[in-house]
Amino acid sequence: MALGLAGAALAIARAVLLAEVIAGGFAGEGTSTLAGPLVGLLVVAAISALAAWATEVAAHHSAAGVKSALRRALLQRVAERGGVGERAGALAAAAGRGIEALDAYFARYLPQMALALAVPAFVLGWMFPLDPLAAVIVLVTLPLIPIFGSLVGRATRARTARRWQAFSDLSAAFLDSVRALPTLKVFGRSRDQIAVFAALADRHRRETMGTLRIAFLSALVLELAATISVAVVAVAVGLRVLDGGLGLQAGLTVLILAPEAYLPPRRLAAEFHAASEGIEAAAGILDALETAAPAPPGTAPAPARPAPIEVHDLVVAFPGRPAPALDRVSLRIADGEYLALAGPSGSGKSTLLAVLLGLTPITAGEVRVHGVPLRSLDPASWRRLVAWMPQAPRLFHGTVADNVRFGAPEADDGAVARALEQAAAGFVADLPQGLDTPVGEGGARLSAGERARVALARAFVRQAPLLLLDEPTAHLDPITEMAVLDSLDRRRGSCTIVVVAHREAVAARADRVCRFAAGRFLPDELGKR
Amino acid sequence: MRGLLALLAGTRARLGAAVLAGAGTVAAGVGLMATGAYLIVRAAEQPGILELTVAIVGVRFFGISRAVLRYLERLSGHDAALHLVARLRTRAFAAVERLSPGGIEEERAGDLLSRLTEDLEEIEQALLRALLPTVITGITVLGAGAVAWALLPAAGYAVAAGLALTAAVAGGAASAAGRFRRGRLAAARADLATAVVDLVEGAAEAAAHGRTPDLLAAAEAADARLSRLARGAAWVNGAGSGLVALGSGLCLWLVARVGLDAAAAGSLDPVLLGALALLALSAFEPIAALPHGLLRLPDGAAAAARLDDLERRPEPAPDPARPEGGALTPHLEMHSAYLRHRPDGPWALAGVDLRLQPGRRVALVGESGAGKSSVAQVLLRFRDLEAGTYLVGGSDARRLPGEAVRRVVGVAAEEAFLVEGTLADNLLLGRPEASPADLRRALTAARLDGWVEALPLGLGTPVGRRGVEVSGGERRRISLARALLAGFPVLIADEPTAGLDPETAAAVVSALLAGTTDHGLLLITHGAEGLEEMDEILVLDRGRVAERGTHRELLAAGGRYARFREGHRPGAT
Repeated sequence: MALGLAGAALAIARAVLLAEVIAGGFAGEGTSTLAGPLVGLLVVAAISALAAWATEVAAHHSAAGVKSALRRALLQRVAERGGVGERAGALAAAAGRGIEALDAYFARYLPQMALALAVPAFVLGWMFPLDPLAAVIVLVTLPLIPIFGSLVGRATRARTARRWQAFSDLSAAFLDSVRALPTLKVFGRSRDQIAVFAALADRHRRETMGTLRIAFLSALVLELAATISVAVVAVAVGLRVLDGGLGLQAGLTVLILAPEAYLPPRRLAAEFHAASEGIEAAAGILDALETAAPAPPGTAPAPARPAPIEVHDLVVAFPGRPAPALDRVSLRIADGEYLALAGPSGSGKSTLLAVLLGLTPITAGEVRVHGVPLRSLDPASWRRLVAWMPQAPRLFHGTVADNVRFGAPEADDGAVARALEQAAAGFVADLPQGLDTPVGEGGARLSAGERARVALARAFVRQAPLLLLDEPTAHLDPITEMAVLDSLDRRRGSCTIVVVAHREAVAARADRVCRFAAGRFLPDELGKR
Repeated sequence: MRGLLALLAGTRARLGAAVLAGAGTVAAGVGLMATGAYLIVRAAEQPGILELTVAIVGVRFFGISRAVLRYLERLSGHDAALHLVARLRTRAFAAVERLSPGGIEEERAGDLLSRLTEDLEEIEQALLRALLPTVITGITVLGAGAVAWALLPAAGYAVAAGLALTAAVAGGAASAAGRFRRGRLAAARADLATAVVDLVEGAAEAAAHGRTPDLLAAAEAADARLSRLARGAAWVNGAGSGLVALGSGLCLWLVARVGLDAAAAGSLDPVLLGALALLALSAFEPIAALPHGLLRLPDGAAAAARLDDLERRPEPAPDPARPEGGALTPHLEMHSAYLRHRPDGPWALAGVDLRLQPGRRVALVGESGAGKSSVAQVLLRFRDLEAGTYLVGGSDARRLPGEAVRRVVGVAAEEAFLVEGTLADNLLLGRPEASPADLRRALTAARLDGWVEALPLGLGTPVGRRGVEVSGGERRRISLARALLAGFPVLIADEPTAGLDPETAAAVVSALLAGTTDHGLLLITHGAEGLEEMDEILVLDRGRVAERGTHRELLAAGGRYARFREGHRPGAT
């Protein structure tokens, strides 16, 4: 608000000083008698420069501070929740694009808001005693700006939404056409597609222009209200000066001030769209921050061996899903057992692994390790016993070795190399920098099968007595798959192994196969060896 | 920057209209204030009302025309920008068409496309918010300077120099800020994005491995770095705005001073003093938005450079300048073929020999990345070999147009791409003139006839992005029917069974074998189906042929192939 006051004061001071100079010059005064207002103009220029600079710096500083604080709070939430559950995607979106959208709101909309409130109020207050008529003209037309502004905003928002739809349709068509190119090239038809695409792009251009023409027409009304009222003020002031009802200096001050009153609200209207995005983003972020914190973790130290594990009538239901992911599942996993979980995708196999890890809260029923409820164990000490490879493993920013070592930071190069060998990751030797090759964001420089093997090595390097593997060979060819299964065989007995298997080759090696369907075990397969 | 300007060449007329309307808007705004001031000062001389009529009409005219011209400016500016973007989008598409698929690394294709879309937007914004305002500012410098000069030469110089200097200084600050934004700030932002994505998408794994605090600390450190740099950037940005305010204030002061002196000396009519001062004040309007707009310029220039780079990228398998004519006999031979995907990468093919002709069936097996798809790309002449030869009908493939090679050899791809349209449109892609009887034969051969008959709309069923759901097995059989209908003498079947359950996989392969009895066939597969029927099986390993022979020979040899088959025997342990 202080900035708004400063902006209003500077605008008024400049108008008064300039009017004094012009009126003085007209009356025949020279630079010596007008030295005061001239110096005043210089001072106003200097202060305006400082104010403009300070406004920008203050706005961006506070925006940066707010963004940083919100982002840290969000990241803290993400870390607390372990990324499991329905809100993970929303949190990620809020922490990324959502926070950036706040920039427009905090750095541009809010400062402009202060100016849009303060400047017209003070300018009108100054104008009124000088020329009530001009002040009334401005006072009457000024509300047209926010009224038309919000009308324009509402109309444009609907049209912008439609325009965005058209734009994203076009982008999708572009992507589709490009994906179709190899196919079309095989059939010698790809060059025809250029003309087809050119016609599509042109049609999009014409449609967009159509909507813009209407959107800009509404903006024209707004513009007319602002400039015509300045013209009306100029003529009215001129006529009053002519009949002697108003002094020259007062008249000039009013003329110079009139457009100043309209400028901040017009700029505010221009920022309205960006700001509404920011407000929506802010609502999303606050919403994400309000998600309930998970239940406090247990504190009992984990036993030395991770099995036997008993699962009693386990139910896991996710909010917003009609059917529970796991529905009264009971199971006993013996120490050193090699167990395969089979069944169609979505039948609850991966959820069971997440429960065993302690990542997914239990809705009903119980999981006991050596007779102790899993939820009473200290998660960190329990997870030291577990190695897990998820279905879609995540590779982190860094090298292949960094990613293997993610499972065991203290592992030396030899252990990393051995783990990779057990995971049949011979391809690492062919990478340009071997173990030290960066994997790219999310492992983008590796194929799905290569990423799976790095993640498998990450699980192996932990030397944990409980191995939870979710479709470890889904992206591997049969020869590599066999090598991986051989490595698992070598751990038989010393480790308890639970593997989610789509393929028969994997299930065939296990001591026992549990088959799932829709969150339950198929009874005829229960206990089958 | 030069690249950006070169892109504008085809849009000159529309850009000219936008510049005219923009300059007109500024002129009307300046005119409104200057005539307004003249009107008021002249009124103070108490002339007759008729003396003021011209000024009154002028004020009203400028007030209305400013709003109308502003509308026209917006309209013509966006028209020019949209026209440019539509043209560039088509050019980008043509560039990708030329390079696809051999010249674009598959894993980066999605990346490239999303960047292209963003690049076009950057170019549009750079045009609207940086280039057009800069040109309009230039015209304002000349126009406002000339009008002021006509009133008082010294004031003309002051206005022109003040405007030009302020614009230059603001532009300099903006370009410094832009460099900062593109350089360190962009790097910090990318680092933070990586850290956030790692934390969010890897949260479960981090929790399971007890590494969450490390990832959180990394993300917070990246956030702190970004905030620090953003605060630094605000100083530079603020400097731009401050310099514009300072420049306009100084210019106003200077014009007032020289005006007062001239009025005192009698070389300026004191009535014009107000008009002159308000001209100087309002001519700065277009510059106010310049510092923010110019921030877009480096991004736009970089986007233009990337587009240019895409258009200049060498074609992976260029057509020969003087192609060999005549019909090609469908005899394909590859001799000690060598190929890499990157100049410093590992060999994708390292000495592969392969022969294909109608009636001969060859299978390629091996792990993913062993070079199977590279063989297909070379056979289709999507890529040329680095060493070794590829002969089509006895001629070096390099001396043949790619399209001629692809009339001899075609592919039924792993993931059949279905274009927008009906099922019939998709099938006829390879042979638009095919008769309904041909179509039926192809459908029967691909074992697709039953499925099509069960569809309510039959061959008229819409498929593609907005069409009906097509399962993986159906998709592969559509691809097969399409390739069979096209009648390629030699057909490559790329992973026809990947991701299918065993029954569907067997049905697809038996359809493939039945449909290609008098064709040449290259079966690229992860599965075991149909390998007994092959004249030769090649086991690829890191681009080399590790084993070759018939199914029986390879089983007897007891090597990798034999082991691979054991894994596929039902009930094997």
